[in-house]
Amino acid sequence: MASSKSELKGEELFYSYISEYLDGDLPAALQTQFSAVLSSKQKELEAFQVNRGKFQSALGEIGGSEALKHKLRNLAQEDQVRETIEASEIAEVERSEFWSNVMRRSVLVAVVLGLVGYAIYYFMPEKKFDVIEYIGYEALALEEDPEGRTNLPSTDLEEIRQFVKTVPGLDFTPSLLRPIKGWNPEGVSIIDYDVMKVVAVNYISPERGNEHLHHFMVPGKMSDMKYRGDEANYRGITYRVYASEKLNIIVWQQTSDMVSVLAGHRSASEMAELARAGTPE
Amino acid sequence: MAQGLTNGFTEKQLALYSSQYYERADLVFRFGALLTLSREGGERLTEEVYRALLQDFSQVKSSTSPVVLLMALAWKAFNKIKTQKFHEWNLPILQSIKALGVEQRAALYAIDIAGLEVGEAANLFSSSDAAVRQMLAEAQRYLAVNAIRV
Repeated sequence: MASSKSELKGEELFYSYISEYLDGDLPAALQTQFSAVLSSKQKELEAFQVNRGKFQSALGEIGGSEALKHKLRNLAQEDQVRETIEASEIAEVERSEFWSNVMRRSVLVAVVLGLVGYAIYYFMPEKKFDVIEYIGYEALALEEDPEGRTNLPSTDLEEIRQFVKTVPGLDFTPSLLRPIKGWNPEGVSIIDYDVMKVVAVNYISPERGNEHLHHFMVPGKMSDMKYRGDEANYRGITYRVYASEKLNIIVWQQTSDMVSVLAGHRSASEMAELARAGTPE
Repeated sequence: MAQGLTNGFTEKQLALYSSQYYERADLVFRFGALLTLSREGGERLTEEVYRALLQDFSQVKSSTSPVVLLMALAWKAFNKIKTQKFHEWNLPILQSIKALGVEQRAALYAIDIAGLEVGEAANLFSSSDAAVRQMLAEAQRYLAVNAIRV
């Protein structure tokens, strides 16, 4: 194919560019020349279109034999080598799948164990710690052995306030009572239950024969407490009353995260007055 | 992962061969069959092409057009085997087109089937654009005025 010819014209141009024309790729510069011939070649154009389709599709249906393809594959990579590589790749996929399965099963087991754990926790009978149950005993113990149970002996309410601020692990912000006339602070005790820490400020009243009064600060809400007691209201303070043989106890919600418990030998109403006097309105 | 060389080729080369060249074996085979009018000739030409390709495959870049390279090797292979006698393939399409000259068939296939530009076909055939256009005109005229059986 070494011949060389000058630019095509007429029929030669028509047949040379007939495919481009049908494909919409005819160069604009040849449009006029092509159209001049086209009008007399409609039949040939249609026949070409049909035969070109036949030619393309008939050729597209033939292909080399499997033996040829196999030979061509082996030219680059022999069967034995390819099989070794494929076996290695399959083994790798299997290893990957194994670990993937192990991971999947581990996650599944963890989820099941989590669900079982949650179910046990959910259906387990509730063991609610109610601090009021212990406050009476704590108050008596503080009276019997004030020195052994006091973390900071102090008559200075401000010193007590500063100390209380530094107590670690409290679930609430302690709010001490304001100074109450006739009752002097004598120290602060930190009572550490497993589930919560309680702060107690102990007061003494010399004019009442060194009578003791204890202000316990407990985390939480009064509404969550198990024992309901009798409820009363004194000048805006809603309190509950608990009584034992030796002590009276009143409880009120002093701040949003703290319940105050006042335990002493005064009557419930007197203690409500003290609570009112010590709590900002 | 499989490592190292197989038949002297790296994995990258094997991947290139497999995806870009081996997959086009039928394109080469059809060209060979069309030029030799023979299945046997088509297969022989194809084998020649791939042997030649793999001889210098390390020089083949991923940016090389596989079709252009395969067609160039196929034309070379045809010129090498064209004097050999092959059993004629009694396929209607080949019978319909065998009256057309081999160069015309080659130009028609290169441009209309393989999708080469006229300039690329001219390089392939070591010819000019005008000569390729001439061959193409003759091939397409043949399709326009003759009955084609398939």
